[in-house]
Order: sequence, then structure tokens, then C-alpha cells
Amino acid sequence: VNTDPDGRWNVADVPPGSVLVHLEATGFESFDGTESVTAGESIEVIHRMRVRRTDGALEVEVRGRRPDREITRRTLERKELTLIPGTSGDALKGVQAMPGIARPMGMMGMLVVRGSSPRGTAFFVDGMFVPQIYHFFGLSSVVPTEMIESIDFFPGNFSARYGRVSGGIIDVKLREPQYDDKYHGFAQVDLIDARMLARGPLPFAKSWYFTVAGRRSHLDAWLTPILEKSAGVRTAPVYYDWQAFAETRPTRKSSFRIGVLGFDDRMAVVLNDTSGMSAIGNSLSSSEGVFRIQALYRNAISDSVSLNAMASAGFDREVFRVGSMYIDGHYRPITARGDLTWKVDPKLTLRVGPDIVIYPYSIDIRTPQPPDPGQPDPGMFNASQMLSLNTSGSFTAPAGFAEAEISPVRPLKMTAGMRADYFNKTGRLDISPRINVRYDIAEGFPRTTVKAGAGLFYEQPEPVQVAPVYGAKGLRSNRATHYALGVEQELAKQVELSVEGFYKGLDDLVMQTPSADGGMTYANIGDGRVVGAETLLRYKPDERFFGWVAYTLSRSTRHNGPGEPERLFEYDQTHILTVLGSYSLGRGWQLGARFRLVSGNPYTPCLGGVLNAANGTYNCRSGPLLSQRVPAFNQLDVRVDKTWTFQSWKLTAYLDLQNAYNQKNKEHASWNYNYTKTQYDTGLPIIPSLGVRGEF
Amino acid sequence: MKTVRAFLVAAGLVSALAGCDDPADRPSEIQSLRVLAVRSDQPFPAPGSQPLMEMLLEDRGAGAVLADGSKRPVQVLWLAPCVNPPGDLYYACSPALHQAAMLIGDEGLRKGELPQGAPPGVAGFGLSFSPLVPADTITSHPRGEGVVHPFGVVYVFFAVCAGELRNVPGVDLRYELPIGCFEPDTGKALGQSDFEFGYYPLYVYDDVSNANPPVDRLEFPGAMGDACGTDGTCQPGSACGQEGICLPVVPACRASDEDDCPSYAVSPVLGPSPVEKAITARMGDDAPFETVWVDYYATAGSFDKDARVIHDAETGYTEEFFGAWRANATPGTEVRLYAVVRDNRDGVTWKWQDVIVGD
Repeated sequence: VNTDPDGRWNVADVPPGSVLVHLEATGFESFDGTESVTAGESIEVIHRMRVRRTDGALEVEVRGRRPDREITRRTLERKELTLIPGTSGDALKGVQAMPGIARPMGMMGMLVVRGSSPRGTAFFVDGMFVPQIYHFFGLSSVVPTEMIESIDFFPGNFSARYGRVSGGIIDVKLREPQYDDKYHGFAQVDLIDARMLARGPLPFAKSWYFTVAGRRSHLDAWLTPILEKSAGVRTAPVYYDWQAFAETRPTRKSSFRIGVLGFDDRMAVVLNDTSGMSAIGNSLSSSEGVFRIQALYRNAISDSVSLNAMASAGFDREVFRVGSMYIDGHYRPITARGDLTWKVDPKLTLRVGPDIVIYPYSIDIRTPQPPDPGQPDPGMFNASQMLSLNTSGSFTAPAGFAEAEISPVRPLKMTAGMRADYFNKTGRLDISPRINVRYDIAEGFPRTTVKAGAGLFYEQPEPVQVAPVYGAKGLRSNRATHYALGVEQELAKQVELSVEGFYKGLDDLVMQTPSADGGMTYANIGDGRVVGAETLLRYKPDERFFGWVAYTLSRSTRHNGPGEPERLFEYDQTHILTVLGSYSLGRGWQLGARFRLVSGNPYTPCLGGVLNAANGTYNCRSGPLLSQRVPAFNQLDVRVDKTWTFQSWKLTAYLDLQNAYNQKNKEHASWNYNYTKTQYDTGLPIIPSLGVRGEF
Repeated sequence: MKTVRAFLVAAGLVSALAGCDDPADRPSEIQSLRVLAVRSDQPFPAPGSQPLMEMLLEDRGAGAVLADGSKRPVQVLWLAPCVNPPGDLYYACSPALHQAAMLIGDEGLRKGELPQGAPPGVAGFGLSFSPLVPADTITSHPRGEGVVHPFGVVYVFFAVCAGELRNVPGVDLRYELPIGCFEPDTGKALGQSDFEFGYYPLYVYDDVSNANPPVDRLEFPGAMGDACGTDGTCQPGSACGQEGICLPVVPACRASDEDDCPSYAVSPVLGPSPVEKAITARMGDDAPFETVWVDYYATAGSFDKDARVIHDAETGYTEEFFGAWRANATPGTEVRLYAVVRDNRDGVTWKWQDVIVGD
């Protein structure tokens, strides 16, 4: 392509991977280099060409942008990942600052996307499903920021490539190696954990490059004394995670990567005072681990055909014990997914692929049946009959998808997809048609795009809902119908405004209900709806600044069954406002702040207590379900970074001040022992997180 | 299994990290009308039986002592009209409760009298009650998946009122109790400090039994249980209590910091074999052993812990499960200390020890 008079130029639809850049300009020496382009991300680089004469330089911009297949894809870029205030540099916690995501309650690592249940949002690492995104208490994500190239967040109407959930998708792209034959690395320590990473050419293996990283928390240093006030600690609370990958490029247009990743969380305490839960016992232990080996192959077979394939295998462990109740689950997940893309002509691209999940399991469990959220208080958790199950088997969920990207005229891009999901525990095949349309009313700058989408999304029942003894037979998947309509408007080169309205109709929701054969069971009797609007005013990262204002207005409601009154969804938050920005002051100083103002979560009031005289505890006499809210949440987080750059390495010190004005936010309602007094538990106080990081 | 897991973790962590509650609002400190326990002589009765149920009651509400020094009257109503409710949920019994209370009527509730011809074992008044377990309790309960010991459930409700029990007109049974407690003179509804409402679930089996935990006595330093001398004298360090038994005397705690006062170890002395296998409907011979714990209560002063586990299914016996009690600041008080030992199959046993707080 030819540049504009300023030497700027754009290339769209660049396939992901390494791109050879060759530049020629009159009066300059030609330039050859490579740039790494990640799917779904635009990059901007400046190449300085050597002038044949004696002075001057020319700025050249290379831009690659994957065509949007979704209505809304929010991509956090590398510069933003580490600098979002209040996250201690944790990229996946930064996702919570995007519109459409409800603020998780304190110490709870969950994502509630557009009024869907937390398990309605799936987490992928390079297309591989990972069962949880955060270590315990939500303190830190299971993949460290330094391993991440970018994060794609789809709050709804996502592509047919993804399924089995009806909320949103978070897909993390891990970093590719730097093919520069140099070794790079970093080490960092802060109040929560210590971590390291190293990358470079793999010794004794030509053309292979490696990345290894590891992290260990030192929560045990400060959480153990807190727990010891009311408990004896048997296993100090601690988490680990690790990643090791090797990658090569067999050809200029293909890459192959193989590696392992995993994490481990564990703790165990014995409580000294068991008031209110004595019937359960006084011991609590938790141990959870995930290990995966993953292989990833990408190949731009020709100018019009490309292939992505991913396969993984591993094991998950979840062992929880509270007194006489326990879950001892072991899983051997195998996943495979991929896509074959054929660009038939500039107006039509076809894509097909499999998405297979096989989860062999071995479970030994003894608990009562868990109550559903939004039920009246059934009494102390183990006051009902204890159930037990010791079984093994497999959750098998093969799926396939096909998509067509159609662009009959240049400003119009339409993606029509279809997905078929089978789940062996329901014995049903779910067919999910989806369509997304984007139309550039004004191309070029300032771009104006309108977008709309509709589709069906199925979410398979939870394992407990289809398990023998605990669950029910004959269940179907929960179903959601997503509709979205929005507009994107470029306001300036770096500034974009996005406004989007959404509606989700929910039906066939699996809810708990009294069983005809005694006890409780599950049935597809619930329904609900979510309606809302998201606004994102974003200043895209440049050399000095990035930031955004995100506001979501929404209402999410449910019916527990036919004839039941409509109630609020348990994590419904009417208003979610996030304002954040980070500015480079120069001389290595960076200053950022994030402010959040969010409606409180709903809760069910207790109108008094009813004594279960057999175990001596009171049950809440529930008022109208989820009819009250805790007060609104507001918090300011501030982050300061100072970087010293030396010849071959950099040293950064940072202070991430969470809850800077020490707001005593009320997180959830709690009651005294007999439910005659209501109080609100407050969230975390001001927390200065201090860290040091060295990298080369 | 994340849903189940979340509940397990929440149940444990909430308790582990708790500690912010108002210290004056602890379950072990009796400051109102309280039902401390109900026990059945057969925690798992057989169909057709009539177990004996007894109530442990303390009234320390603001108006508990009348102007003449006597204790105010307290009404106790028992109702057992609810067998095998939907989902075995106690709150699904509200319609049956409402109907039973309406049959008794306001006059019967006020006088503590059942209507003529009332079926036996469905309602009663007083501190004890013998409900009739219907003979078809098990056969009328659907047998769910995984049940190895067929069962049924009879919910025995009670309403304890330091006023007058009445039906609540126009009650919304989704949220309100069908029976209320009212001031006799003004008709004003009394709150929970003068009105306790609760239940005891009787799980009914043909082939599973449970014994209440065996407790010999409640141990307190210096308590011998001797009768007072004819002239009301006792050994040094003890004094004659209101019931004619020599009671240990401890100094009042007047220190501004309670921790500066001595504490006294109160501990139930267990009988032989206090822990059984926790066999229930879906738990056969491979069941774990019971969880057994003690709840402490005091009419004055304070315990350091409200409850201690005696035996945990996972970690076994707890080495120390005594409650450390500190006296109150008012000399001349006769304080009653309770230990209610429970197992997780509805077994309940209680013991108490009186103590005199001296100067």
C-alpha cells in the first residue's frame, strides 16, 4: 500500500501471527522487519527508516485489525493490562472494569456479565476451557498478566465458536515468544505474591523458543494470623500457578506451541468457636488444583485458507471438607477445538470447526442438597437430610459450529453462525443459530458503525443438577435469547464512543422444586429477562494516556417457576459506573486512578428468626425474595508507577492504593444469631499494595 | 459441583472470619425469653409412637420479673399437624399450622385449652408434649433415589409467649407466622424478646435409632452438689442457693476490662459412648460418626465461646471443649449456667449448674 503524506498507512484483515514488513521510500534506505499480530487486536508501530542523506526520519504505521465477528468485543491491550488501578496489575481483574460486568462482592472471585449467573461466563486460555479464573477470595487471577498478550471479553451475542454458556466469554491470548534470539525475563514481588518469568530461545532446539513462569502467594504470612484469632490453621492458605510453553514456526506462515499450565489453591483450618454452625463440625479444608497440557497449531495454509487447532488434556482436583460434609472430585478433562477458515472471495468467508469437551470424573460427595439462590431460608445447611454419592463417569459434550462472514457491500459485515451442542447427561442436541451485523455508516475517520445481533445460547445444567441422588433426570439446557443493538462512533483519533442496548430472554432455567418423590429436585421451570444499556467512552492507549468511562444500566429478573412472583436476580446491579485513566508523567512516572459507583446487591430481608430447637440455630424468616438492596458502593483506587530504565534492564516500583479514601462500603447484609437485628458487613479497608519488578 | 462447593466454603469461611458482631448480642447470653433446647426421648421415633418432648426455657426479658418479685406467666403451645410437607421443608407447613391454630381458636389459645374432640397428639400446652407420630408417616413419604432407610418427617412446632397467644387475622403465610403473641391488655404485638417460635423435626424410621448424647453432669470448679445444712450453711467457698443446694461462690467481675477477671472452666462430663454412627435415610453403615457439640448459655456473666465442637466427623474428638465463663458485675446474683450437648441427628441433652456471684 502507499502511505499518506505523513507516512501513515493501514492494512486490515492481517492474519494473526508474524508479519513481514517491507518499507520503501524515496530518499530512504529500505526497511525489513517483522511484527507480531494477534487476532482481534490492532497494533500501531513506528518504524524509523534510515535516510540516505544525512538527516531526518520518517514515521510509518503498521495496522492490522481482524474483522469483527461479534457485536461487541472489548479488547484490553498490553499497555492497559498492567496499569489499571486497583487491580495490583492483574489483567484479568481489570476485566471487571469493563461495561456489562457487575462488581463482584468483596472476597468473591466471580464475574457476573449482563445479569447472567456467574457460571454463565466461561473462561478460556487460547481457546482452552479453564474451570476458574481467580484464585481463592478472587485475590488474583490464575494466569499472571505477564503471560498474557491480550484479553478478549464478549459480553453477549458471541460467535458460534463459543458455547455451553449463556452469559459472556473471556478468552485470554497468551504471549508469543520474541523471536529475537535474546533472553528476556522479569521478577516481581508484592504484598500478595512473588512471580518470575523467563523467555528466549530454547537451548539445544533450533528454532524453538520458550516461556516459563511461576508464581507463589505469600498470603500465609498475613492471613494466617487473622485466621488464628478464631481458628487453628492446619494448612496455611497458599496458592501457586505455573506456565511453561515452547513454540516454533515450522514455516513463515505457521506456528506450533506446546506447554503446560496449572494452579493450586489450598488451606485448612480448625475453628475454635463454632457458634451457628456447630452441626457442621469445626474443620474446614479446601484444596483445588488444575493441570493442563496444551498444544496449539496455526497455519495460514494459503492466502485464502487458514487453520487453527488446539488440543488439551489434564486433570482437575477439588477437595473440600467442612466437618462431616465433603466433596472429593477428580477429573481428567480432554478438550479439542479448532477452526478452518476459507476466504471464498472478498465478500464471503466460511469457517467451520469442532469444539469437544470430555470430562471423565470420579466424585465422592456427602452434603445435603444445596439450596437455590432466591429460595426462602431452608434452615441451616446441614439441617436437612444428608445425601451421598460415590460415582464415576464422564461429562461428554461434543459440539461443532459453522459461520459465514458475508460482506455484500464494503460497509456491511454480517456474520451468520450455527452451533450444535450435545450433552450426554441430558441426551439432547441444542441448536444455536446466531447472527450479527455491523454496518459502517461512515467509513474512514471518524467512523460510525451501527451493529445489531440476535441469537440463541444454551447453557448446560450444572453437574449437581444432573447427578444421581442430587439431581434430576430429563433436564434440558438453560436457554437464553440475546438481542443487541448499538452504535460505535469515533470522536477523535484516540477516542471512541460505544452505546449498546441489550435484551436477554431466559427460559427453561433449571430451578429447584419440591420433588414428587420427596425432598427437592430440579426442573426447567424458571424464566427471566435482562434488559439494559452499556456506554463506553474510551481513550485508546497512546504514548501518554489511556482511560475510559463505562456505564451500565440494567435490570435482571427471574421467576422461580410458574405462578411464582417475579424477583430480582441475586447479583442484579442497576447502575455500574467506572471511570479510570492512567497518564504518563514522563521520566518514568505513571499515575492512574479508578473510581467506581455501583448499586448494591439485592438481598432477602429477614423478618425474624424461627428456632430449629434440635440444633439450636435460628432460620431466617424470609420476607419478599431479594426485595431489598445493600447501599451503593463507591471506591477510588490510585496507582503510581516509577520505572528506571538502565542499559539492559528496567526496574519498576509501584504503589497500588486500593480504596484510597477508606470508604466503608457495605458488602452484604447479615443478622445477629436470632435474626432480630440487621447489619451490613463492610468490605476491605484501604489497602496499599507495594511492589517491585525488574525485567530485562 | 461448584454450587455445592460454594456453600461448603461459605459455610466455613463465614464462621472462620466472623467476629464483628455486637458482643452484647451473643447467643450464649440470655437476655430475653429464650427456648434453649427441645429434646425428644426418641430423636428418631418409630411410626405410631408418642415420644416425650421437653422444653428448656429461660425468661430473662425486660419484664420477666413482676412487681411482686414473681415471674411473669409464659404460655407454651405445641402443634404437630404437619407430616411430610413438600420438599420436607418446615416452611411448607404454614397452611397446616394456620389451620390447626384456627381450630383451637383465640379462646382456646388464651386459656391453654384444646377444643373438645381434638385429635390426640396434634396440639398441647406446657413444657412437655407427646406428639402422635402417624402410623403411615413412612409409607406416606415418597421414597427418593438413594434412600437406604425409608423415613418420614413430622414437624413439631412450638410458640412460647410471655403474653397472650392469638391467631393473626389476614395473615400472609408466605412471610408471616400464623400465630402471634400479644399484650393481654393493649393487644399490642410482642416482639421476639417476648415470643419464640420454632420447631423440632422428628425424623421417623423403622430401623434407625438415635440416643441423646449421654452427659453425666456439668463440671464447675468447687461445685459439689451438697445439700445445704439445716441452718442454710455450706462449706467455705460456697453458699446456699435458692434450691437448697450449696453453690460455689465467685467474686463479681468489676474490672473495666473483663479480661482482668478470672474465668471458670465449665464443661459437660460425658457418659460412655457419646458418639454413634450417623446413619440416616441415605447414609448406611458407611456413615461417618456423628458431630457432637456443646452450646453454652448463661443467665448472667459471659462465656468466651458460644459453642464448642466435642467430636468432628473429620478430625475426631476435640481435646478441650470447656466454656470459660466470667462472672457479671452485680454481687448477690444467682447465675444459672447451661450446657446443651447436641448431635447432628437431633439428639439433645442438657445440664445446668447454679453459681452465686459474691462481692
